[in-house]
Amino acid sequence: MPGSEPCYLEADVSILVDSSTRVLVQGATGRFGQIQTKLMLDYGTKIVAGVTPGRGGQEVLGVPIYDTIAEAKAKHSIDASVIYVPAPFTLDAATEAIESGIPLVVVITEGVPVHDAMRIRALGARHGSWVIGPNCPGIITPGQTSLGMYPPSTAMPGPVGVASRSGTLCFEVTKLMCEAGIGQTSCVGIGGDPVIGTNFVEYLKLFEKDPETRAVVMIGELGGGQEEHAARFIAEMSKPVVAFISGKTAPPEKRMGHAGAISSEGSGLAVDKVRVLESVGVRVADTLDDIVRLTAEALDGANR
Amino acid sequence: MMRLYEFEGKLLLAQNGIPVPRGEVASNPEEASIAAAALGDAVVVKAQLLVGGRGKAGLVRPAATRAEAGSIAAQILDASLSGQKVQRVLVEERLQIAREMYASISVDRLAGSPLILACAEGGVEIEEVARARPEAVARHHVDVLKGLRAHEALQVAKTAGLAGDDAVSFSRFLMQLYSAFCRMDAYLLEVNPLVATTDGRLVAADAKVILDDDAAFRQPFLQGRRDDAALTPLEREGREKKVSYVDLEGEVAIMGNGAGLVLSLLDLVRHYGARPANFLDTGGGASRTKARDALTLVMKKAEQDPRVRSILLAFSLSISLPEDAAGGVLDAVAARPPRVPIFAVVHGTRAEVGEEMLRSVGIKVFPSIQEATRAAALAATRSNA
Repeated sequence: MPGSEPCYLEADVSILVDSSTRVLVQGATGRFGQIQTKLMLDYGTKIVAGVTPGRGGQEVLGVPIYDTIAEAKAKHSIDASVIYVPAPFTLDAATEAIESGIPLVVVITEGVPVHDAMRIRALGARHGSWVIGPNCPGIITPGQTSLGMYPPSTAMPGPVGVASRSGTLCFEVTKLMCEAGIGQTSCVGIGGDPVIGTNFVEYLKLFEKDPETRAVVMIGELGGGQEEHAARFIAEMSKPVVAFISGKTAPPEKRMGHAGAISSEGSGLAVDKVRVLESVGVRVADTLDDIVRLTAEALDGANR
Repeated sequence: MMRLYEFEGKLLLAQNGIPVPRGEVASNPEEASIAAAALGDAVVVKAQLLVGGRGKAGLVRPAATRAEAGSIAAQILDASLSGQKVQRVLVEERLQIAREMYASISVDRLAGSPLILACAEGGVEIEEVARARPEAVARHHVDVLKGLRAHEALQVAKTAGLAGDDAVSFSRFLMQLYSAFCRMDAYLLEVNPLVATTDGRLVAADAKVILDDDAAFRQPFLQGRRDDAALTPLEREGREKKVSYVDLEGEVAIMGNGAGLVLSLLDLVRHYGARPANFLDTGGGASRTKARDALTLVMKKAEQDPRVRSILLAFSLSISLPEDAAGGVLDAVAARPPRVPIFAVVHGTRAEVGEEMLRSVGIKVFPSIQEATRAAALAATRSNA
């Protein structure tokens, strides 16, 4: 299937990013970008440069700003880029990052047109860049680095890998986990839009390979077929998976006509996702509290 | 996502080079009659609705004379289907049909690319054909970086069961359709039936079009479009205020920042024995104005719907600043005292600031989502007892 091949990113610990990851911020000079840049710097993220067309030569909180990524790369080594650029310009920014050879591109922006998202995804696959998002909070490897705006107080180092379609719901889940003393290897918001850069299953593959991750929490949602698609791989996984699917009681998503019903996997209903996941051994939590309980049980089981 | 009426979809398709039947929109029987006259009397009168099933409901009917077109329009304009009243009809020329086929292009979410479906049999339920005879439906994912090549389109036509010149004509139609799909920022373009007329033209006899609202900044059509009869008044207001609002029936009105978060609130409200009155997602980054507009909408729901007994608010602050999220709430409450109690939870960066601001106007703030939701649900169901 086009667009699902991952690229080869090796981080020393956890998935995709760690304390050594050198980060570029696209859109650091905007009001929002500046706030987020500060939060990342405070967390310890190694932000080496920023790119905003027209602002080359300026500085934001000590981070040098360049007009283009090529200019930034002439002075700095860059492992990843975080994009805060407004929706009308996000395709341009992502294209530049991917074609510059940056292996990891995190597209935070909400409201990116789906046709642009399809192009970003295809470009990422063609050039071997791992694209997270669009419309995501980013990725955090607690205690090491944060690319995006994961609230620092809601994540801590530990043995559980977390991947979620929803940003704010993910923060709530990891907050509850922290309160129960269960930390995370990495938490990634994969993106809430219908078309995202990298499918759910690819993150599960990374967590399965990651020696620090002993269990995985996946937070899904009604709509689309990401969870069902991931189920096939989950059946082969050695590590336990706990899932929570929001929208079990929501009104059914509007069907995209006849073509939508047969082009995507399954019905998109939350209850069907739950059924498919349970059939491959996923422990599916009914409520937010259950997630913590099931995760603790899964970790105990993984210890034996 | 914006679903268009048939007449709107056809207008856009025509602008993008796709042949459609000649037709006129009419909102009353006189207009329908005049339209029929302009089209040569023998026409089809079609209800304009955003739900399917109009054919089966008798809301698409032929007329032989302009007078008949008028009287049929009168009947159709009185009807409702799935809660939608017919406000307009499309009066169209009757095509001389040699063959009916099917072609659609949609965004395949999982593959992350456009999917073309084509079938030599049209005018039928494509799902049933796909189920009964999957080999009859041609499927092709388009590489968006390359586009649709002519030889690929021809292969699709052949797989769909066409041959020779018919296959070539169909493939050219597919190329035009794909081009329109991209230029319109469409989520779905479904032509069913795609009619081959007796004089050798391919015409989109019916068109289902869904556009991507996120592309409004570059799609003048999306910017200009206001009216949407499928939405309730509050849903329409939600669209204007750029929040995701869906009317439901229940006792606890809800708002939050983030779709997954709000969906889980809906589930949690039910878990605690009450029903959600609505869905409202402000989006991850709620600005002050957006937070204010969102709560105002929720309070209007509480005012208009007597079943609503409490309001539940959840903010997860990372993009949103407490001054914006909570500030917007304060603005809303200052302008419009709430009719029912408000229960809230605020988490994330500098949450304490947000919590204090909400408490200052009498909102009951809880440390966890579960506690806030349980309190909102209890308040709602207890007052009904």
